[in-house]
Amino acid sequence: MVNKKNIKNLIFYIIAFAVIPILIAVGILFLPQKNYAIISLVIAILCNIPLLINFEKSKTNTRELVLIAVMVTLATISRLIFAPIPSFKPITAMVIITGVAFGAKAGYITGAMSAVLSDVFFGAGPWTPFQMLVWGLIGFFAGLLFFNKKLKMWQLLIYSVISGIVFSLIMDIWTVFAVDNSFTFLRYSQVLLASLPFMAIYAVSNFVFVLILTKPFMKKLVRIKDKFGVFSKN
Amino acid sequence: MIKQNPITILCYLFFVIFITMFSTNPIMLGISFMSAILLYCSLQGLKKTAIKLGYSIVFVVIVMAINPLFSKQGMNVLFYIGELVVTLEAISYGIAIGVMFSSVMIWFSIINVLLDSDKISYIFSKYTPKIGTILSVSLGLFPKYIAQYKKIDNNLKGLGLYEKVNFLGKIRLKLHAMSTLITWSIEGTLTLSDSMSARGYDLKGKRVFLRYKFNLSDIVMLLLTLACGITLLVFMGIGSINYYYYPTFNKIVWDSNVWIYFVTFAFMNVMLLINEWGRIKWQFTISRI
Repeated sequence: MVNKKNIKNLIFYIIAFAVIPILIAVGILFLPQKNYAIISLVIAILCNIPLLINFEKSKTNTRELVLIAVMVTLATISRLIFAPIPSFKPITAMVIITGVAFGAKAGYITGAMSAVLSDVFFGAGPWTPFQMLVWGLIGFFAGLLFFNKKLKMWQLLIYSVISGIVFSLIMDIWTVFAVDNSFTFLRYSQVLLASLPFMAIYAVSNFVFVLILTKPFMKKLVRIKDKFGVFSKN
Repeated sequence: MIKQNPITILCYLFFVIFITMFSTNPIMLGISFMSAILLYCSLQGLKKTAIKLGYSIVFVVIVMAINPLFSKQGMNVLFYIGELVVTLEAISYGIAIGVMFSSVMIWFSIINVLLDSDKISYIFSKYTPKIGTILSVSLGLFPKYIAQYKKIDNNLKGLGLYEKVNFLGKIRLKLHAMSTLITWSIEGTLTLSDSMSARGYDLKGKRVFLRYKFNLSDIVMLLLTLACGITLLVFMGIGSINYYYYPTFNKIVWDSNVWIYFVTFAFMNVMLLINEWGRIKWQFTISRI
């Protein structure tokens, strides 16, 4: 069934996603010295906008809003609790579990907003839009793949390890831009090699936290979902 | 600046950071770095500024040392290390990039000072009320949850569970406290959401409380920022201020375009410093007995 609203949404998405390639083209053709850092930053900001607006337009009731706010707060606190151990943080696992329990949209918003909230406390920087995007998408795909389905633990564990690796890969793209303002695969591979321990820590920490946290957290979140009738449809 | 509307602040800082990130021109970088340091000093005091300056110098030195390893371009060879050619151009390009990124980092820490949580939730709730609600609710809950977490954790310590456990056991205990926190929080929060609905959050005609207003100084500053920013971007598009380090330094031709460009950028930075002059003076005259 094609109705007016669907067409409107479609046009909106086309515009939102067409802006990004146009921006890349403008950046490469017209700007002096091919400044990759700033273009990537602007793209990271723009990528967040369609999903944020999509959430803004969708119907959510107050309970769902407040539950998402609670999950954002808890994810940020989980980052704070493990502050002494560098990059060994359960925040990605929290975002994944939220996505699995509450669906793709809630997962995206939880990931993106916990990046904003934790950077309010830990200090924002050019990396904030990247973090918003990566954590948001990790939550989004977790919801897309596992929401309202019979949960198989090994699939979730594989997903968590992959998301740790992807997080590291995308953050390293930013590091390459930051260090020499241009992008070569040689440089990228060097940075990747240097950050291999971090990538391993991300993957291992995601694995460990998802393994430990999924069972108790899912039990609580699913109970809340059933009791108060939130996030029943997506 | 602290009292200005957040949108004005954001717009100004966006343009300054955008233009700083684009420029490799040493004069531009110098202007940007100096004004960033002065503004940071006016906001945070001399001691923190000195620490910031120290970090920036270390960063610049590191980038300066690393850059010749990767780029072997340049005409003026300084010396050889084994087979590695170290050129003057590579070193100065390293310095320029280092200064550029440290000034961007200082501008970002200025953002962190100027846009506190109130202003961030203002920006979000003006354009995206739902996300603004999420952000302000989380900002409100954060200190409460931290306090509760500490209570739970202290209880675990009081029970003596933290003794005789290894690293993994400690992690497990902390996650146990997290889990308890979740149970405690979610039930209480649903009553919060119900009381929000009871006060009419779900109703159709509701409006969002906005703390800041646009007054005359905001409008003037916004217009000036936009005018300067757009002028600078146009000149950047023409390419009259491009500066190259490789194969060797290009000479700056001092024609009218370049003058307009530098004066506009300097004005844009100084505009703020005039606004903040009192605070800067205060930081230097403050008594330290």
